[in-house]
Amino acid sequence: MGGEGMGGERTSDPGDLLPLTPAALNVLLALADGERHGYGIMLEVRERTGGKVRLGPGTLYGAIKRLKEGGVIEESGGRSGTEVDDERRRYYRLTGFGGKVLAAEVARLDGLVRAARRKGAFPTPSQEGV
Amino acid sequence: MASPRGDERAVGASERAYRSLLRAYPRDLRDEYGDEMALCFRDLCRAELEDRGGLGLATLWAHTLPELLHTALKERSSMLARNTYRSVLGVALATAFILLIPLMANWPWTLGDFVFAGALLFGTGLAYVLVARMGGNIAYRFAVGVAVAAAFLLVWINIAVGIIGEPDEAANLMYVGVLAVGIAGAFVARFRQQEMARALFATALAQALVAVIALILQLGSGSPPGVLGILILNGFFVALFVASALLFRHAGRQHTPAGVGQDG
Repeated sequence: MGGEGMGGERTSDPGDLLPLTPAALNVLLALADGERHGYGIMLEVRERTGGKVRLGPGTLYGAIKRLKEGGVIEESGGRSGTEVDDERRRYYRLTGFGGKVLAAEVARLDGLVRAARRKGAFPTPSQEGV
Repeated sequence: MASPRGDERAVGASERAYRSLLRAYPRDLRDEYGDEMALCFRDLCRAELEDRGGLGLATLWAHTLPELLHTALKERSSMLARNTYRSVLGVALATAFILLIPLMANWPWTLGDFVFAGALLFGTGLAYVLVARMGGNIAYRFAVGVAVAAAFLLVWINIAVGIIGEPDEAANLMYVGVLAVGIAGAFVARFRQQEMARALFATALAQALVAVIALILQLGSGSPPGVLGILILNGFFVALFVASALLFRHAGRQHTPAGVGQDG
């Protein structure tokens, strides 16, 4: 990811961490609407992508480690209390900086999609409906 | 269809197997997230068994194993690259700092002298940081430090003033053989403590042998440092190599198996 640049070195400019890897972007999107634990992130990503993206534990926690080291996400300490082993699970949430990183990445991707549309390489929503 | 108890047994066995495979990851990732990774995998196993039974569990394993191998290699290589980068940068800065001394003191060094001294210092420092990290304890690092310092001084003194007669005395080339014994011995030993001790004893023996040959053939006896100087200088290096060997042996007793084989 920009995440490769997150190896323990913190930056204050969200742009320094772009582009994000697909795994990192999916983790940030999963946390955009609230805190989740690792398995919760996996389920959110799978449901949101219709099962097309399945993060394995190694991919997920590699991304979590780098995002945490980069100050993009943090542990929230939140617990739902509905599961027996909840005390062993850690919940993660976006930091303020993480929100900016996510917004910057989405803006970057949006710019790419707009450019692709201008060049006719990608149908506009109205064309899709035709 | 398997019974719920049978499913739980399969989940438990899968979780145990997955936990043992987590050793493929670097220790810092494993210590920090290993438990959570295993919990996630257990939940995935339960979900697959519930949805698709044994076939689902087999499919999950078929996806997980390549993913585990790929991410473990990625994590290890990025850790290695990060550590190596920091080490190389640290050694380069230390080398530059040391080279400032002759520069500020206006020593009569040519550009070639600076290049040679820089290469020797940088090479010595790099050899130390790369080899020292292979051992897990302080004794191992001390042993590497003493051996590398001895090798550095052997080259430096030989080039600067010569140990056997003048610096251009061909007999001094015998010390290349001493260093070759040490370097080859380290690689044969694969940097393991007990074997490194033997390699350093062999290096000390080679060093002593050079002195014996020089004295028997009366090499460099007519010019400084003379017979006594040859004995003292060679004795000094023999002592350093023996000290390094003893430290390696001590490191091996403190910590077995060899640090080289340690995970993480």
